[in-house]
Amino acid sequence: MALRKQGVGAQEIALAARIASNARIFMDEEETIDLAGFINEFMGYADELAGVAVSAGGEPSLGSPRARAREDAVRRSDVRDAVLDAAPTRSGSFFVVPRILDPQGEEGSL
Amino acid sequence: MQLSMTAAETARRVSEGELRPLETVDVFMKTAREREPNLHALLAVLEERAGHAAERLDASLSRGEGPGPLSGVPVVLDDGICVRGTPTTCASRMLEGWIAPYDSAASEMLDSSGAIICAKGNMDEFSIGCSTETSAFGATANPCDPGRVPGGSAGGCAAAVAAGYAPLALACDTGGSLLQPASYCGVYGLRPTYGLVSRWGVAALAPSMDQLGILSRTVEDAALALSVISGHDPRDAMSSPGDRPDYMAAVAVPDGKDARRPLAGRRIATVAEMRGGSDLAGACREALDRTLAMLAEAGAELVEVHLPLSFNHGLACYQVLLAAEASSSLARFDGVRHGLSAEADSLNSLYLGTRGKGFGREVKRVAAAGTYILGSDRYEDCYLRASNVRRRIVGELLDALAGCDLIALPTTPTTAFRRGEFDGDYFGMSLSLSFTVQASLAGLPALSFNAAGAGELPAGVQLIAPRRGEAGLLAAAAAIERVRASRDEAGERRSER
Repeated sequence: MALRKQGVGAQEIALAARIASNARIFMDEEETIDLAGFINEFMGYADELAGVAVSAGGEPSLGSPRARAREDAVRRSDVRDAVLDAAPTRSGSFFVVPRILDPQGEEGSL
Repeated sequence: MQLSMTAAETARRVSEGELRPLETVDVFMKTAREREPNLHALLAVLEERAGHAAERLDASLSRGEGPGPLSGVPVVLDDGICVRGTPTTCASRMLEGWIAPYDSAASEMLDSSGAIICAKGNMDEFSIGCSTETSAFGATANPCDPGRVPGGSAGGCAAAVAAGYAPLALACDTGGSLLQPASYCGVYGLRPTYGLVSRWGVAALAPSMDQLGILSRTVEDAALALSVISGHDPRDAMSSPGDRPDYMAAVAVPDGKDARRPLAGRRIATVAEMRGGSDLAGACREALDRTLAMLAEAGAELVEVHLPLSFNHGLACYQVLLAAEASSSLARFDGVRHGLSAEADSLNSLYLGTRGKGFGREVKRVAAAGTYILGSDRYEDCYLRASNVRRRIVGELLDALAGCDLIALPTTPTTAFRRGEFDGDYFGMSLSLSFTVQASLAGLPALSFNAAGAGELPAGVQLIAPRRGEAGLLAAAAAIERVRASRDEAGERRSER
């Protein structure tokens, strides 16, 4: 898909690269330039709302006035095994993630 | 069995033993095989599961067990709705090959109503898009004109219903993801009140607006499906308790003094801000005028409401909230819990690699924009401001609906656009949601039906009701259906003479 002319500058591209990194999405150079143009257009929409008078400090609307908050308690899942089985890798009753601390460290360095 | 058979008629004939459940499944499979090479409405055909469900239903009917309200009715679900043991991809490479480990509330309710889930419908990737062109597995064509899009995100489901695969489909509506395809494909689309239908087991896009809805070819079928899938479910935190009216009674033919003017005493409003708008295509304006004339013929009083905020700023408000919520919803795709997982030696590179590879262009852009406005730099002037504007829009709509029973407006500003017309122009394409985001922002129910002239491309008109006003929506749409039928009959009599 051809990129449309975005007319974005170096600063906007640097911002887009930072945003992609914060969103934990790898983007190559072409995608980053495309994102910079997208963010510009997107902020145009956001800025449009700046002219609307609102009362400060309002709570976001949930949309369902009759919804009841569920009890804040531990609930047993009857699909735990099935969910773990559907994961890319499982180890016993855990999901597997790459080592977080000391990636070059030795076995058991956690 | 005919392709055009409704869900109500299918269920009646299966219940009375005139039709075997396996026959309805066979008709679905045959139609899908014939039409799929040209339409690509489906991502998965669940032939084995459907066959087993039909056999079980057959056995239970022959044991004399009571039939369910949707006995033997083939149904398509959009691919964001989980059906245990079957692929659920949300049309994304991220979930390619992922098998749902649980059922959605909707699929449970369909199964126990006797319906037969036959296939998963194509959609825009993670529901981001308005044309079904962002599907990682290829676009869907509009059955009314294959050079045009079916709309989206629920384009596959709308196309499947319009093309006669099945009389019913369920799909998620966020800002018009179901109503807009209904308009483009010429079928009924019902977006119920936020909280009326459980979303348990449905992939989230923007949870403060997401609502599971119905696509059908008749208003009676929409009422029938709503009777089956609505109700309180504590597994969906936003599901709300409360009594449900008899939706089938709402679409029943009225008798006595109400028969000719069933909408007498109803006030139906047009939107002042829209009637002067230059962005509205002639076909859509005519569809609205045609509908208003039929509503008046059915006895409704036509009034006008002013909704300046909702129509001038609704779309901008929606765009901001959608991106913010989508970035949060999509954070669960981390390479650890489901689907794709990139080779990586650190957690950060696992995230970056998985999401860079698994998400398509549109999903990446929207998730990134949402992340940006949820960051401390822009949170207050973007996300919080949009949330506050939304409160005002909700107030404006509720105030308007306090003075009338329903609001009538075109579902979309134009008829279906051409495939490739918006090639990557996300915001240009989103203008097709200009008239559907309002009901989404306010959690209001809306019902779209085709009101195009004979031989023209479909053009939907929607009615919007107060919260929990589905019975009123269905009754008005049923009245229009009857006015149209009586006009068609009169026309045929004239042409015979």
